[in-house]
Amino acid sequence: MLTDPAYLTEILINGLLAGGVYALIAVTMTVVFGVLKLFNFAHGAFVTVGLYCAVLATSLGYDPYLAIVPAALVMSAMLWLLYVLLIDRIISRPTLTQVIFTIGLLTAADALIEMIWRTDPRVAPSITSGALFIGDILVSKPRLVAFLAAALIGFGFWAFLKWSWWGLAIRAVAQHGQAAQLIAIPRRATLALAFVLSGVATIVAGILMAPAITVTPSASYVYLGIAFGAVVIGTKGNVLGAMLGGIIVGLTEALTIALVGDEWKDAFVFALVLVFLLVRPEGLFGRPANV
Amino acid sequence: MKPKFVLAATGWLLAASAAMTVTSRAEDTIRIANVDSLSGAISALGTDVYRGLHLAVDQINANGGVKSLGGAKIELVDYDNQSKVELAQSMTEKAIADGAVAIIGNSSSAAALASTTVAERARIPIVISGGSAEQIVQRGYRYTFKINPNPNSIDKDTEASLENFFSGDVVLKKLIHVHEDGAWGQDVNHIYETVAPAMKIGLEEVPYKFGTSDMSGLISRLRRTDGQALVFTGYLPDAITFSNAYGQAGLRFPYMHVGISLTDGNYTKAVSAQARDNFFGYQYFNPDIVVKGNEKGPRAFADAYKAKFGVDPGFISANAWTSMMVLHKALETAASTEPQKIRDALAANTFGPADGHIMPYPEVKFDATGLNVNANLMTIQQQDGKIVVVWPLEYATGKARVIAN
Amino acid sequence: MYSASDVSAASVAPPAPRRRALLVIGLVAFVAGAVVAPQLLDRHGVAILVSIFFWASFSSSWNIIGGYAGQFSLGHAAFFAVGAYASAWTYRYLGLSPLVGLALGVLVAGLAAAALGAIVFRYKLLGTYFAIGTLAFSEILRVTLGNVSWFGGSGGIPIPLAPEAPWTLLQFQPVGYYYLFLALTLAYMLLCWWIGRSRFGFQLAVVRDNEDVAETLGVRPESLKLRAFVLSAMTAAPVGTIYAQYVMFVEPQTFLSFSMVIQVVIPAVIGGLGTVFGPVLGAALLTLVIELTSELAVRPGFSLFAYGCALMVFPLLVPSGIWPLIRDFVARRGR
Repeated sequence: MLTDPAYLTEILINGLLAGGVYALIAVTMTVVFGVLKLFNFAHGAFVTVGLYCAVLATSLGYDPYLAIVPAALVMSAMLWLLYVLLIDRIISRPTLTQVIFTIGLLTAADALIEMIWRTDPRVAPSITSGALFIGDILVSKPRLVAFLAAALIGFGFWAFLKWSWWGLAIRAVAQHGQAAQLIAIPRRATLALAFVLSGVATIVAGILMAPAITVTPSASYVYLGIAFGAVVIGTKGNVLGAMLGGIIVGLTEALTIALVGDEWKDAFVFALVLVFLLVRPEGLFGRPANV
Repeated sequence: MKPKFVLAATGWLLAASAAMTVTSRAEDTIRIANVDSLSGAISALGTDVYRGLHLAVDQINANGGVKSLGGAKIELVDYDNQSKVELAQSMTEKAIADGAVAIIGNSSSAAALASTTVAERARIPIVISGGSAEQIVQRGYRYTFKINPNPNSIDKDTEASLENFFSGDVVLKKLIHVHEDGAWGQDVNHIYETVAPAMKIGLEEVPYKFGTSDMSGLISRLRRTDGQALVFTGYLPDAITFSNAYGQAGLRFPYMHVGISLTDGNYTKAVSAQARDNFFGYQYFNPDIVVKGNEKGPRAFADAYKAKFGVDPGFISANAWTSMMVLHKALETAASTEPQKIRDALAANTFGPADGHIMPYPEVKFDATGLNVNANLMTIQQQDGKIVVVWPLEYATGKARVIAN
Repeated sequence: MYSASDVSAASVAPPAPRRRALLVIGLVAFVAGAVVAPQLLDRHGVAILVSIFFWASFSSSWNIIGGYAGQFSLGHAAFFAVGAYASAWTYRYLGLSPLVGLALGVLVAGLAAAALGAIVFRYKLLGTYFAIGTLAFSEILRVTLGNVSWFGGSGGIPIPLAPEAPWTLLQFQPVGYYYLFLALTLAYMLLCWWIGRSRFGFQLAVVRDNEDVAETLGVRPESLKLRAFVLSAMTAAPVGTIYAQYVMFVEPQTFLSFSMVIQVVIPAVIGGLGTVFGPVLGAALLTLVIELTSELAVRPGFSLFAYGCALMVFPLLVPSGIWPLIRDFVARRGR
């Protein structure tokens, strides 16, 4: 079966499409890691929030993609509030304290979603629902849309960081911390911006994914491990690296499913991460140095 | 932060925890505890069980309670284990400390493994209404009674049913089993590992990780696999994901079995009727079957459930209802609230149509390990939008349709 | 010459005679109370006590690598599971006493930690990378145990009951496990106390606080971290064995769940990293919070929400842990 070129192509395409979304989640996590130096376990919860925004849209009779703009606006405000009230205090604390706090946030967010929507599985069908056939190759349309949108947002992030004034400010704060304030960069506002943008982008990733999957509150944990892995492979703090890391994880997963079995995919993805940690801990784009 | 505050908070916490151990209890009632997943990952199952149990208790009490104990009413108290093993333990201990003479509930097999240990040590009988893992009854416990069959115990039945379904034009040469990687999926796979060689057919095992949202890899493989039968063993969210992916890929197998989710309300909402037409599934209970000796029973139960809860019975509600009725009979025959006597009654009794049995097997009877030896599932098929029971033949309401591609 | 306690703020300061007397009295009272406590409580209370000392011993063993050595390990559940599986498997399939299984578990856990540690420390994995690396190990183990039928697969291994069993089979009433976990906790507290006062502990503290400086002082970080990691793993295994006997089964999803991986860290961090009493206090608080929030069944999910909020609030209010707070409070009052 593996000698069938259509099958192989299909597997690789599936891996690529999945990887694209992982890439976006990894990008936002790497920004938070690199800029706020925050080990954020709650990152998975942002994905789940996005998924349920889509579910909400469906229950109100709208196509889930329509939730993107309103969710982005509302969530920006809420994330900014979250930053100012809580996150700002946490980032100066040691890693382990951050871990406990973000786990608490993850738990509370998931629980809140359970309180509203219970644990019943939901679907968020959209006009893009369905599959596309390119010859003998099957491609899921929502996944394709999610991939394209994620790629767009991911590159948008990269461009923003590279070329805009605020992007520069974010990078300055990431690399030079307190010193950035010496050149009149408003530290707190910059950090808040980085946090809010990352959070919103992650939520949007969730909305994009919703039509392609069945939504339950336990989604948070699935993407957490993958995001960590992709960030490590792509170098902590490096946006393009995170995108590449996400793609690599997606392809590894797809190949494992085809060659070994779906039930082993976690083990192989983590084995890949472990190998990377040992062979090239600084990631694909890093310089060999202490973290 | 002020140390005084910490001390005060600690003091408050200690006082509150002391207060927790004080409980009150009504006179002249028999206290039974439902320890189950009322919240958390499998709260949907917990809800089905909760409703089945409470309906039974209401009916029992309305009918005069436990007559051999002077009409004492059953008081069913619920304890939420949040789908967590650790809480399953402490909640069962709490239930016993609060005076329960029997434990019931437990939709989750892992929680059941923990709760039964507590009950065994405390010598309190425990009836597992929902959990089904075989490990629950493989430890030599004497106080555990499991209503559901072991997942892999229905192999003889499976073989016979497949032979019956494929008695038409389509010849069964290969069966593909897509299953979740947990205990349940692996146990069901053992059925096919036994059945396939016996039937001289090929078997392709395709395990997947429980909770997988992306089944495109599986579908890719299935599109290029030959086979006449595709069996899917997975929990509800995965069944939805798989069914939709199957439909979108235009896959068509003569025999497509999606397991217990086929009749679930969430499943029917999420998978279009057209997509699931001709799908086979499992059902523990069907209101339209004829139970000899209690012909009106199944429909009466379904109607009473709908009247009380506004929805049709969930897929293990009837199992839970049965477990409570069985416990009630044990109380009647034991004529005592002593846990040991209740336990002995449970072990010795049978519960059949004359007692109100509504399930598709002759009677409830526990063997020495606490397994309900006769327990069985029905195979159903969706035909033209309606659910038809196609196996076992004595309960069938129609004939299986296995259509060539 | 510096002593461990001067350099490391996290260990017990050499107390003046009066404070030492207070400490000893406090300890004796604590132990006496702990021994007597089960008699004063009902079954539920005993279950809560078992929970407290289970987390206390488990987290104490994590404290060795996470607190004293300062390496954020997320792989601790793996060594816990090794202990549990070693004893369950040898009992069920070979009929060996769980005490033998416990010893086997300690050995295997130690070897696994030595192997894993030799690799990760030699490759200088630090901080979050070490965390993710150890998490990877834990996840790989979970998937492997679940998919290999030799280990029982996803259903795990049920532990058969042996009524009238001799004590060597480790099957008791719940209160028996309480005393086992209590004993383990006290042993580990003693171990941590010894580490805090030893040269080993001093060197670990230097490595923890600044690894580069440690090297210039002639201390070898890799070897030290490895020893701490192995010790930590070997102390986790017995906790696994006893817990398996408490619930009478082992199963990959429960023993290597995300909660197990994460919850072991919480008591040590909340109670006070790298302190003797930290994990015990943290475990008591964590268990109480879990039990209390589970009473708040206002709506499905609310208890979990309350628990999540508690986890968020604690690090903000008590950043360095409960024990340092108490210790400083007592120190200030003493002046």
